[in-house]
Amino acid sequence: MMAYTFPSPTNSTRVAPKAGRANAIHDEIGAVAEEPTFIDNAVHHVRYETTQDLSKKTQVSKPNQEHFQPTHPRRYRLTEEDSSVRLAHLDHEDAPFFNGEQMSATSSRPMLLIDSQSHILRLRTQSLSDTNKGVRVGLNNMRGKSLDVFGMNASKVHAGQIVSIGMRSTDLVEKLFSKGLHGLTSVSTAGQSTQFVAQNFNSIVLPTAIRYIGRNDHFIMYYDRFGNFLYAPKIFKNKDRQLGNQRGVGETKVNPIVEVANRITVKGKGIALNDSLSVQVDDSEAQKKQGAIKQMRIKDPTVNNESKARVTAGQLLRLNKKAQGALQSNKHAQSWDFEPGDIVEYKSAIGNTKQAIVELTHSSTGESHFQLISYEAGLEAVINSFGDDADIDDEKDATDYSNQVVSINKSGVGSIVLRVRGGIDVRPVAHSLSRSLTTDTNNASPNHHAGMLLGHRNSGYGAGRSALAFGISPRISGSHAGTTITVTSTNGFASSGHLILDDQTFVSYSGLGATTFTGVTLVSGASIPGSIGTLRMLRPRAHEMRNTKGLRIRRKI
Amino acid sequence: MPMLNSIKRRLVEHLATLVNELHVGSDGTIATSEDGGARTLARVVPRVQILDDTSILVEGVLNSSHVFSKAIQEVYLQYKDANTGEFIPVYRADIHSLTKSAENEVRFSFILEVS
Repeated sequence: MMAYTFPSPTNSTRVAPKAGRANAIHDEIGAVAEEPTFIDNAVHHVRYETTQDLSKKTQVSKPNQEHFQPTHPRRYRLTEEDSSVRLAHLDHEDAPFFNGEQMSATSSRPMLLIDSQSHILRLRTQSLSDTNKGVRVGLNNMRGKSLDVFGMNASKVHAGQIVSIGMRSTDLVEKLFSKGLHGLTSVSTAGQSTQFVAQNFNSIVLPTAIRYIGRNDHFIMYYDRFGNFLYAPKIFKNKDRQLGNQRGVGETKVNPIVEVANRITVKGKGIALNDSLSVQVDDSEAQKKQGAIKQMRIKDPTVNNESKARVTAGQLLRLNKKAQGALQSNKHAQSWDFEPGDIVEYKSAIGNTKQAIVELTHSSTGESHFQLISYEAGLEAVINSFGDDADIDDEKDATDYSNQVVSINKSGVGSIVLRVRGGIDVRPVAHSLSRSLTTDTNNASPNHHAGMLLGHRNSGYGAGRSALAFGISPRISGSHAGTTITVTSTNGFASSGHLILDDQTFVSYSGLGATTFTGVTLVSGASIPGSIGTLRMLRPRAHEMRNTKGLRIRRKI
Repeated sequence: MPMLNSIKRRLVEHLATLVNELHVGSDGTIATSEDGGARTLARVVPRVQILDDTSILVEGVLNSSHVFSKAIQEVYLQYKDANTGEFIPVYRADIHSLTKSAENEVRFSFILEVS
């Protein structure tokens, strides 16, 4: 922001923008009179932003020409036309300069033209067009009207943007309390707002003033019966608690917290004489259904152009619809710990829903009665907007002139709901083992693996296990003498077990050497042959998987 | 006015591309819509399947190889861009405490419905 004074040869504390034609003046005057480094009664103009990521850092940066149009002390000659004015230099007819460039149909246009005699008389520009004398500036809402109607009859104007000097809204609330007498125990603000508000609050009662500030930053005031006052962005907080169990025949009914509206007129704060910031948005579907137009007027000081007003109106219509579904739920037992502002899980016939407690009564009989509203972000705003009709006089800027262009705004509220239903399946896994060949230990009696095995349960200790057959048994030749069979290698055979010799003789053995089976006894067959053509295990080895699962237990999330 | 089914189908198709990670975590605090992540114990790539014009199924399995010393107390779905690392939290639920050992396997399934 910048403050300006009118140029005077003796005024060495002049602050002026360096851009545009002023450069030359600076070069010439600046060579003899140095620009001061400290100026009393000046304001630093910076951009103040909160970064929209997890860090939520606040950043202060230098504004540049795109962000702000410096209002230069230079005056322009104004000639009135129908729905437009012509601007020219004070003493000749060329198109004048603004913001560093000569005004033309393609240059950037000044936001406002400000009366050189009275700064509250301002005109909002709409377009620039070339003309043979000066430049033509189109104005909105001026057809058939002259500037005299507004009491503006100066022939000279400044061009640029106006700035109000205010305070951060949270600081302003604290400041209001520091000056006023009040009986509150404590006053606190939560969080730092990034909205700045400039408003004269002389002779305005504190609650009205704070609600007005709240409409700028969507904060809301909250006070309890102990006299504590809080000004905070969110009064609703999650409570890890369910609300249900009505005692006896408790009744639940729909009890809207605000009047039903199917047409909302949002009036913004105009800053120019020809501003018309009143937008009316209709919910035609609701109007048709209800058979009547129910209008509500909202004044939103943050609205400074038409599209913003339309957004506000559309949003308020949507939230108004939501607020119609507010519930009154009575006779709850054991609910003495709830407070207004708690978000609870409300048990009802249609399932559990998230509801915010707006009002409640705890009675001495142990019953609690609740006024609930389906919780949604932005709820604070609707309570702020609909809650208070008190208005702060800003008639100085008011512009109540009829429009020349009638625009019709319709709003249709359609909804898409995104729902998630979740489940968990837990299944015990008794044991698991990656696929491997049966080991000698596992293949001991009575757990020999053989044949086509799909399942196998250990008869002793340990987990049940599964096995896949057929395994492969080595087929080798050998010779027999006494109780010993000699082969080239016994690799792959169990330490004791059964053998088939030449596919017809069945023997058992009790010991195993590197090349010998010992303790060989005939089990069936005629006799043990001295020379054995093929010798193989009676029970081939299996591939063991061992992966046993129990019953699945399903739980709803 | 009602929203039309065709756009719901389109949203469902888009939604199916917006879930590519399922996390289980150890943070049991109550889930709110302001949550932005989980205290992750493990992350699996879930199977995402469009069931019909209004719903998708997201399913993730933790087999017996997942063993955690802390109990699972939350499940969290998110979209993560493999190139930029940018992530968008999609869903978080706090669940009854569950001990994940080598002796159990857990399957999480979610139906996301646009209606």
